[in-house]
Amino acid sequence: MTAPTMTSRSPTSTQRSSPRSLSTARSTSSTSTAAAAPAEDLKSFDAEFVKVDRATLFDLILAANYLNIKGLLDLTCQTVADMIKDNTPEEIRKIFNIKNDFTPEEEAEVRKENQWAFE
Amino acid sequence: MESSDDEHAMESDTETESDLISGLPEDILQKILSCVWIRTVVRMRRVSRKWMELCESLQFIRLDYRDFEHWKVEKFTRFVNNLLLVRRKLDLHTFQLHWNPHGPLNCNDVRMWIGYAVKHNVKVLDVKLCLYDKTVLPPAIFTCRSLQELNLQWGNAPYRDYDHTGLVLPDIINLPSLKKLTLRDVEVDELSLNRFIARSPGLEDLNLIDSAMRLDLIASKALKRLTLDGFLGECDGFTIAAPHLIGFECTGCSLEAISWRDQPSLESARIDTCGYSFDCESKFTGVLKYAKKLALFGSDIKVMLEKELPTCSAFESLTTLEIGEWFLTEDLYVVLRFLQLSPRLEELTLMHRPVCC
Repeated sequence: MTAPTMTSRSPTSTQRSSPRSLSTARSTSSTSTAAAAPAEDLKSFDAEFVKVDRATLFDLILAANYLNIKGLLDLTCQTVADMIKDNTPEEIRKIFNIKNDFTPEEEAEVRKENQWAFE
Repeated sequence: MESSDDEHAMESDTETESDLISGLPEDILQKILSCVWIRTVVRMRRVSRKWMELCESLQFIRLDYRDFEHWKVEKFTRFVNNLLLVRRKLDLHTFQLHWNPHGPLNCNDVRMWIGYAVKHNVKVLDVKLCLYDKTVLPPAIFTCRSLQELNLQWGNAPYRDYDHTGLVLPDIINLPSLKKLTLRDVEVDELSLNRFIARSPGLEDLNLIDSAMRLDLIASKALKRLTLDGFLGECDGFTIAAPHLIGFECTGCSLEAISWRDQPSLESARIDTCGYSFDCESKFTGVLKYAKKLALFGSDIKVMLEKELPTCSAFESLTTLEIGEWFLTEDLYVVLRFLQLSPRLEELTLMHRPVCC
């Protein structure tokens, strides 16, 4: 049986406060101290996993959607959202090769409307 | 700003000439948009005709005060009003509004926005305010047939109302699709709780934060997770009859106040009690036997464990244990006994409380 990880501390806040969860490290031997939290390992694994070219990323999204893999779908959609970030429409068109199919007048109209309604 | 440098950078990045993103299925694009800052989403109307349609059909409206820092309330109100005006005539999945007290919103505006969501068959309504200047909650919320998830945290009842400490529920509650309910600072007494449970046969998740008021019996066959975090007024004791309950959290009452009927097998429990003694016939540990995660705090918990652990069989599934809020170093029996009884324990957290004067 592996030895459990032990942590202890004294509460400083009020009676009703519940302790925050500490490291979720699993110890693999009785002599090891707390290892890097798996949560961080997972995060960097996820980050590396989506470092693919755009076409592959969209394939991953479609696959995750078709196979109903929620975690992968969340991760890949968040990645695309992070690419959109707070960029301007021009920058977004560039990033994703989206064609601007507005006429100049139409686009000017939307721009004016956005400025009035949302800025 | 566009520059020739960008074009060279893009060359190595354009593995393909075509626009792959706009061809993704609509629901995936809506999911992507749900993660995008809403102020960017409204700007994206200008990207192309397809994106204009997508942005104006936004399924997930998420408004967080941190995204509107330095905005006056009037400006933010206009933003939201225009957002709803520009939106095409179709159903809305999620309306989420998290606002802080610096410059409180006009509650009439909040009611209008919620009214919009309800009229558009919203599924998830999540509104967190820190201040609300009326006592009664908008009745329309509680008769919304499409609502699956409801989270209302609006602050205490306004100080002008001396009759109530919490916000007041309407008389008619009918939420047939409701699966998850979270209420904070809302007066939920026996009658209103029964209305929720009776009218929401699929209610699986119930969270009452500083809301439970003189509850007697919490009975539900569907309930899977129950959180009672703080009580309004004195807690005399209540019985839980939820045989399929797998998660239980309770803070702010004494251990003796909690009784079980149709004992469930909890997978996780967090119990933080404020009593001093435990004098009950029935075994409390019965509901904890098959738990994977336990967090048990309080002097009366200590008394109960000292009484019951000697004759307890093993906690076969227990992997995570947090325990304490008593003078641990005086007597480590409880801790040692748990270690003996838990062959799969991986994580143990001890909360030591020094003796108070």
